[in-house]
Amino acid sequence: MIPAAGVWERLAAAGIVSGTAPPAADDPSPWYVTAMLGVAAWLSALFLLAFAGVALSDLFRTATSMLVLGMLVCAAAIAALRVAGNSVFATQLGIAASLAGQALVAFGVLDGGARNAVSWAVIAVFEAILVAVAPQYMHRVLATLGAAVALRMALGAAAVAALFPAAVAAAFVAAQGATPQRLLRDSLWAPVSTGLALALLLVIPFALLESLFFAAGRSAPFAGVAAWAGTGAVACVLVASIGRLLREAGIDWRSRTGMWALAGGILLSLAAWPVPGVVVALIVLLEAFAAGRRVLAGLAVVALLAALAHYYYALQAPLLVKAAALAATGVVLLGARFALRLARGGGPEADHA
Amino acid sequence: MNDARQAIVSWARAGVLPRDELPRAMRVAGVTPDGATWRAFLSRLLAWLGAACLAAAAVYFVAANWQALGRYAKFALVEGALVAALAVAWWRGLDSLPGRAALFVASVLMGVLLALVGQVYQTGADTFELFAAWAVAIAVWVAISRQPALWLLWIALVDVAIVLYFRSDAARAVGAAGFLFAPRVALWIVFALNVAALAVWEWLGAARGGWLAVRWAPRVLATVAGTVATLLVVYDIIGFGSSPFGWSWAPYALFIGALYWAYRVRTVDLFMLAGLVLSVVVVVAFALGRPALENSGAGAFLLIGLTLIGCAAAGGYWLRQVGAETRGSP
Repeated sequence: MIPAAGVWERLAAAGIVSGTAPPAADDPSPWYVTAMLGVAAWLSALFLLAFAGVALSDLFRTATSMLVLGMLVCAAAIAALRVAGNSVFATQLGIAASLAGQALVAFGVLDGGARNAVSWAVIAVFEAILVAVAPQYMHRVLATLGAAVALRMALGAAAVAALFPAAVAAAFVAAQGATPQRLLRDSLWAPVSTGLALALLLVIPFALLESLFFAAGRSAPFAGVAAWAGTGAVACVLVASIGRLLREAGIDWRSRTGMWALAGGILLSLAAWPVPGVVVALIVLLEAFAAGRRVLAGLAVVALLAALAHYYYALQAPLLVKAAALAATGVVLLGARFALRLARGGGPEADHA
Repeated sequence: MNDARQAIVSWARAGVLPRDELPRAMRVAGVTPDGATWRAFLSRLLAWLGAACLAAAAVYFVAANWQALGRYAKFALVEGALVAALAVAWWRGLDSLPGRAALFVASVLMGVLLALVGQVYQTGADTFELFAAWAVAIAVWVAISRQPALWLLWIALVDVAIVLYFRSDAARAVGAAGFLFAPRVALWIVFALNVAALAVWEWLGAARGGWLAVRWAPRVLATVAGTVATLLVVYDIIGFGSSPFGWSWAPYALFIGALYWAYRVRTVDLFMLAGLVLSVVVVVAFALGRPALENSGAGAFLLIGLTLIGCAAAGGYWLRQVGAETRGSP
């Protein structure tokens, strides 16, 4: 976290602002306090749900009653969140109630069966609406995560789960950006991108769950095509992300630096083709670094290490082929670093840790 | 979230900072990177990720147990990589980025080499011995490395060796679920080890500074120790081989008290305090939840839910107050 102290003076020295510094209006809670409150809200929601399940057990017998009750609870929770202001208790109560309401809605929608892609898609849309209407940061993170989970389940049920990392990575890149319009909507897009990054961390547990619940989907005739399309789409998202970062930095993609950066992205995508999780994590890492969002960058590093570890258990290739793919990726990366060092003169200070 | 980022956006919304200047303001404030910062970041990223891929490739290669390659060729390959990594570390020095990455790779390769010995000669050794031998073999490198990441790798190896020592089903013990359901005595030893490492790290960090002054490493140690302590109390509550009022409560209370003293009274670390609050909320949830589950009372569930919301809200409020107090101090 970069402290706000002294920022006004730096901006004034650069001629961007003038006069005395006004107080910053937004809530300055660090991420770990927000995360603690989010986990606690989840726990509380479980007990609220248990209360509803026991006290209103008759309502749990039909999908319609669960849907109606869930939507009413969500509506009340969002109303509470919109008027909660800085009240920690009201916010916490609103988030916990909303999570319980979301669970009720999900139970109602999935009453016809958990293998229905359309049902999961409906839940994803419902969660996306919650992201838009409830203004609280942690609620937006959790609702985004809920939408991504539902999307993943929908794609899994349709036997095209391999498209999920590319879809989430593309959404993540779209939620980033350094234009004034985008930065002014930071209260919406910052929690959305955090939720999407968390969803990418869940790719591996999703794959394990899918092997248990959607075993039939894996043998679908177009699953192989989806895997290729998904990996190719991830590569395209990486190249598009690099292109946008270059544009925001004022670098023409046809310049020497631009061409090197794009070529590096393409080369890396090809080398890491069997390990698309690594490329997805790199996309998040680059975008998070560009936006100065260090916690997201940390999440990306965790996702990267998880992708490398999970690759060991992936069944699509023997271990020897995997070892060769990883070695090739490592050589490409170290070669790229050597090229970068040569391009800037490569003095000994360049390597000093 | 980011204090400077939020402040700049709020100033732009209030109209005291021209909206068109937002991207430049972010760069000037150091929120978003400039060219030099990008180059340094890319250099580190490429070095560490490249090293990680090569180390993982070595692990996969040995695990593949390629029959077409003789035992001497396998040893030559792994030992050659190990010597090459050590040579890079020696050549570039332990304070340089390539030197640090190379020493980390060498430490991983040592484990690969020990696994290869077990694979080729079928030594019959228990799995915990591999991790214990690995930790012993790299101890000197870790000691001279001045690298927090390498120290944490070493402590993780010792943790795994301890858990494996107390488990006969080694394959299950290595996974997260295996760790969660490890024997209680193993968890207590892991807890004690991580608390001791945390205390020593904080003491040396305060006394010597330098590379020991990083905050992320003691936070990782405290997270491991706190998770294990919370797990042990939860086991007591739900009665995994013990009564609901088992003796885990006493060390847990001591640990929580020590955390409060260390990170609220002696100095302030909001991360540690947030972890403390979360641990207390989890313990309260289980402590109240067990009797509610046994009685299946709807009112009890509602009361517990509201109590947890109250606990978390009070904790969040307290953390905000502590944070504001810290920012206000000179």
